[in-house]
Amino acid sequence: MKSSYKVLLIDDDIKVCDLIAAFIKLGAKSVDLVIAHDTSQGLFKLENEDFDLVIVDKNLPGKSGLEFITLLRRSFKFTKQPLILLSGSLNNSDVLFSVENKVNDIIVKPFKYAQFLEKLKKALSKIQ
Amino acid sequence: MEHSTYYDHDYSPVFVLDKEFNVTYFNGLAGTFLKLSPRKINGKDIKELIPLPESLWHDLKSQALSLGSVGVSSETDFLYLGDSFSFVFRLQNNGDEFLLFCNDLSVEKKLHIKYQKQVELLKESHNQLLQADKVRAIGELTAGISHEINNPLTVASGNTEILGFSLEEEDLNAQRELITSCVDNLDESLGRINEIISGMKGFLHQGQGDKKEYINLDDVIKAAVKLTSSTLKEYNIDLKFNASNGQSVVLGNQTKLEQIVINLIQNSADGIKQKGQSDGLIEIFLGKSSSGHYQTLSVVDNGAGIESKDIPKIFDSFFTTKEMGDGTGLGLSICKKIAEDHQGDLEFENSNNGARFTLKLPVIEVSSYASNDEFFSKINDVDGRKVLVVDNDATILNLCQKIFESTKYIFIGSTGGAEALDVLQKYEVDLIITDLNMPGIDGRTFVRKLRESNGSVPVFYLSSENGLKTYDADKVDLNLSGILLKPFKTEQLVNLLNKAFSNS
Repeated sequence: MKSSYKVLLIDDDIKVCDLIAAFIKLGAKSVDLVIAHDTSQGLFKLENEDFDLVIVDKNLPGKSGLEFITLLRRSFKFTKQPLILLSGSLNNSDVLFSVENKVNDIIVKPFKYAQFLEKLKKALSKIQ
Repeated sequence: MEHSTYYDHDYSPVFVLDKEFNVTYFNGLAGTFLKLSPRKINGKDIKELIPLPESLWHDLKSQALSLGSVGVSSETDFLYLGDSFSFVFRLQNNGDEFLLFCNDLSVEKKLHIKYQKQVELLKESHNQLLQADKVRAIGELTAGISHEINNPLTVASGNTEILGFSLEEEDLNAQRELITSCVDNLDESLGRINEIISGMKGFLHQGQGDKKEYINLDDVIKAAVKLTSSTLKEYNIDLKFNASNGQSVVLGNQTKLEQIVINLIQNSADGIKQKGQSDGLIEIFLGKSSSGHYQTLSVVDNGAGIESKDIPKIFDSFFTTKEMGDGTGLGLSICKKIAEDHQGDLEFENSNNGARFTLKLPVIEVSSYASNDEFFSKINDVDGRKVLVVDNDATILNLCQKIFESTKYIFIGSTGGAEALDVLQKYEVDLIITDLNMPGIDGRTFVRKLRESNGSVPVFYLSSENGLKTYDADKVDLNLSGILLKPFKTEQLVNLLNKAFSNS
């Protein structure tokens, strides 16, 4: 277990970002959260810093979250990048996509505090 | 028998009667109709043969008193041997005898009733189709909308939890800032959800009828844009629209016009998706046609456009180029029908790089018959006092229209001085009420121009208290009859009208 983690959140909804930041501040003090509002911003941040985990929303302006994940997995550097997908609804195609692209977990909106932290911590605990 | 030569070839039953109404002769069809043998008809009283009320015979007879006069009954329904018939009777007085012609309308009447029923059924299915199209549009929007609701829902539920945590803290005052921000977030998210839902509900359930009102096209477009925003976001499409700031008021049904705009936006979005355009752009323009008779609303996109071989068919029902299951092919045909119901039209052309749909709606000239589709050309033939109300504010015109419905006067609405002058060139009115502050030609200028040609028609100003000075200044010059101060009550307007018309 590391003593601190860096997590990148990509979501275009500022209020949702604020909420996740508040959850993390309350329940996961060891996490340092960086926020990007679209995939190109996110990609830029990923190129310049290392992140322990990326949380990406499915519906984003421009490239969607799914396109973004496909793109990441194609690049050698990010084939093993831990990922969590935020989605408005859980459907079969999303689950299939996640399995195929080795997405660690899916968090369905609207989510609860406990649920969110549990999934976040589970994903972080697998990181050596 | 001399009669036979005349009447045996007639296509309806004919009886010859003596002065006591006993049958002396009848033609072949009369026998067929009565289904009796000749000996049961000849010499019998016609009133006993055909079961009609006594008053009808009486009326016929009194109309045909003198020689050569003819009595005609109205259309009479009766039962004979279990079948229903509809006849018009003509009784001709030939001096010493009567001729009774029975004009059989039964078949025509039955057909008429049948067609009437069919037309009603057609109307009903058309209404169902309209409603179905709305439901379909909502269905297409739902995926996007549910995502749109999810975000504020997440924020709301999350903030509620944070609120819960902060309430467990010892020192509540220290948490004040956090609590305030949570409450603000909650409020804002619930507001967002409410907006989305009420937009949808409004679109589905409001204005089921055909009620037309003065509406601002800006509002129509804004509502449609709000409902389609999630679709646009999904495909990363930019939408540009410059509001006309109340310059584009038409007489129409808000929900139905929204339906058109939503359909057009979605079509454009589909066209952009089809082309694979990454920087999709939809622009909406408001304007007037070159003739000035129509208010136009154009939706222009940079999508795939429409293949020229398909253009003649796009407004046909069930014509679609989309994959099976993606579209019903009804959207545009319904839009066209709605536009025509508004005495307008929907037109298409391929623009430089995409499609351009233009909705044309008549400029408000004379719109008294909002609830009645009788068009304006006939207004000069209508009896009753006509009152022209000039105001650029659609709500005032709507209010006046409603008030006028309860009076015997006829309401004509106009949204500006220039239009009002146009109306007056074509139609005569008995009274004018005009607002003072209007874009373009204002109230004073309008009345001044009016007085150049017509010095006598009573004119009232409609204004707030600020207009009183203007009124005092113009009163004598422009021969004004009075001023109605805003805000006014129903009785005030009705009293003004009654008083003005009782003087003249």
